Amino acid sequence: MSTSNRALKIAQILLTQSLDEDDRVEEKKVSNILEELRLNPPLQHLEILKRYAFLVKRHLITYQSILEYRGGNGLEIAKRISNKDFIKDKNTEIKPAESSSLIAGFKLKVGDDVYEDSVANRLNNLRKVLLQQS
Amino acid sequence: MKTQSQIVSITFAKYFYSNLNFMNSITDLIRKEIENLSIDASRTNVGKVTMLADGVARVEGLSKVMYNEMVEFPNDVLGIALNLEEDSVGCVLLGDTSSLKEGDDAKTTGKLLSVPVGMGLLGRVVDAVSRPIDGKGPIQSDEEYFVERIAPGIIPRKSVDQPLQTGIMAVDSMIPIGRGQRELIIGDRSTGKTTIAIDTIINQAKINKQGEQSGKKDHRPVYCIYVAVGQKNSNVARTIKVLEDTGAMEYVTIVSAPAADNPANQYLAPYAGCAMGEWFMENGLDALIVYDDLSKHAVAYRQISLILKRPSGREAYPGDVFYLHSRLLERSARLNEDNGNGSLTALPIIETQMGDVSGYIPTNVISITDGQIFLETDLFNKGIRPAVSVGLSVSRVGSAAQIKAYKKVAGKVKLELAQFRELAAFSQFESDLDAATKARLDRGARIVEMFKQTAFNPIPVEVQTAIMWGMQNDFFDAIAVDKISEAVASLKDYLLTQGKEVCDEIYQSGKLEESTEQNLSSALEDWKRTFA
Repeated sequence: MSTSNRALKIAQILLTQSLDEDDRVEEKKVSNILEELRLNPPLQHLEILKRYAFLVKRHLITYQSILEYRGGNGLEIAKRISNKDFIKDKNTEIKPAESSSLIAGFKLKVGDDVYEDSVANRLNNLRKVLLQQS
Repeated sequence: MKTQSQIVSITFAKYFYSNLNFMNSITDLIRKEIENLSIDASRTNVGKVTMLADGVARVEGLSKVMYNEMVEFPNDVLGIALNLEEDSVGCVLLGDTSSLKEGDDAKTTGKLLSVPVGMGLLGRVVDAVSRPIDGKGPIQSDEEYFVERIAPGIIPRKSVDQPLQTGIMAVDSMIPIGRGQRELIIGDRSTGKTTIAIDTIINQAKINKQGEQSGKKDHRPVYCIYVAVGQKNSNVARTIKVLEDTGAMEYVTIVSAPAADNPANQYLAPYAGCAMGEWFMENGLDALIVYDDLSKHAVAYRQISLILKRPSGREAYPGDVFYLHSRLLERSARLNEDNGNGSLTALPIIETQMGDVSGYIPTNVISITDGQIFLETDLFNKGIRPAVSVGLSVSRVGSAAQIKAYKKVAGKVKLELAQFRELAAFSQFESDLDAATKARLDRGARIVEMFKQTAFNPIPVEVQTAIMWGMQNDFFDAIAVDKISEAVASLKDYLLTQGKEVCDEIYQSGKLEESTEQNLSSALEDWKRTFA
């Protein structure tokens, strides 16, 4: 087994130990794991930590989504969006944050998927079409 | 006593308050309707750039990306997903990557790379993704083909039996190429590989024009695509100029991915050119594609693969370097009548090192193609140009791709020349030679001289037939060997002017009948008097 594969395997084990009953990352468990690793540093400590951080991040985005919006009430938009088909898991947490770069509308990030209905996006699409035609 | 205005106000207030509840319910209804309206949101799959090097980006995320899907980076830079790994995606980048940085977003587009195809591309110079680079405005095309396509299967194919004349006597007589064939041009640097390809393209343009003028019913024009991979821009510019000067450009599309271009474009250019050629083939037309050259193409692919950290094998090429070329060259085919009867002929070019044909890439491409034209440095330096090595060159299609008239005169020439080469080497140690050997050496020396041809000067097949007939019938025997090239040039001029009638006869019938041979004999007698 290559060294990077070994680090990945260990990181995957650490991730499973960081999850609670609902399959969500528990902060307390993560701190305990980090403490343990600090006290008994394994071979490739840094590599394992990097992989662990990556896996935790990937896991977090499976049930946490970020809602960027401009105009209107963020919580209300989040409530409306949660009723749509964008989010399959109804227990997904939506974290709203206002973003002026959108001009108006919203942008929702669920895992690697981004759902966007904003003026900025429409203007960008228009620009591309005009550039193609020129 | 209430005034009139007071009465109106009170009446309105009563009406307003009595309807307030009703109004609230209406606005609620509209609000609910708004809430239920579908949100017209576009969905994309995104990732973050974690590494950028030499035209390759590693992206984390993009969990739903397809293999070979186009990926969009900031500033309208496009990439192609080539490596789909567990935790990241390797993308080759097309275009200027200097504006990209680590942490940038990358988005899927849901599209596979495709290029515009059709007649609108003729006469144009485009880059690897078919963007015009000749300053002649946008490409007029309403159809697109995927760059990566599956080669035609067994059922729609037909055996190669129609000639594709190169206009080079040494090739057309000894190594005939058919429409739909893949014939490799291989040799060291500066041995005239590109010249053979360009001559072939120029000859197609000449034949196309001749066919259009003559109104020959069975005339089928051949459209050409020249793919320049890893070439110097000056070389590409020179090629364009030659094609323009000879009037061939109107039948040609040039796909250029020069040495200064990024490796991704060099990797893609042959596939893009092939897609353009396939359009002609699938629409019942004939096309010729030149890949100049596949050695540089393999090097560009090796560079991409090494940066993508794919396991490397022999000479550091990745394991699928054979598939890289086989899937490209298999797309050249001759289709049967049920599938439009079109064809795509491929002339891939490979550069060898010190004449070594046993290199990794040369042997791969030799095994994929239907023959090769091997060019030797020694012959080139001796002034024998085109420097075709008779012993190592072969066409697996053979005389099936020759017109009957040509087959009749060129049948024995390859054997005669091969015997000459063998005897010439042997006779160096012999002082006294018998008459038969001397005659064979003499004939061989004359054939060698006859095959010498200047660059970008293809000879029409009917003129070639007449010259070869003259050689077979001893019309050149009285001429000194060092004057043969001059005699051939003179005969060519004669046949294109005074002897045009007999050439037209061969062109129209494609056969050498007795009457034609008589006319040919008298024409050559006439020429001989003028030449003497």
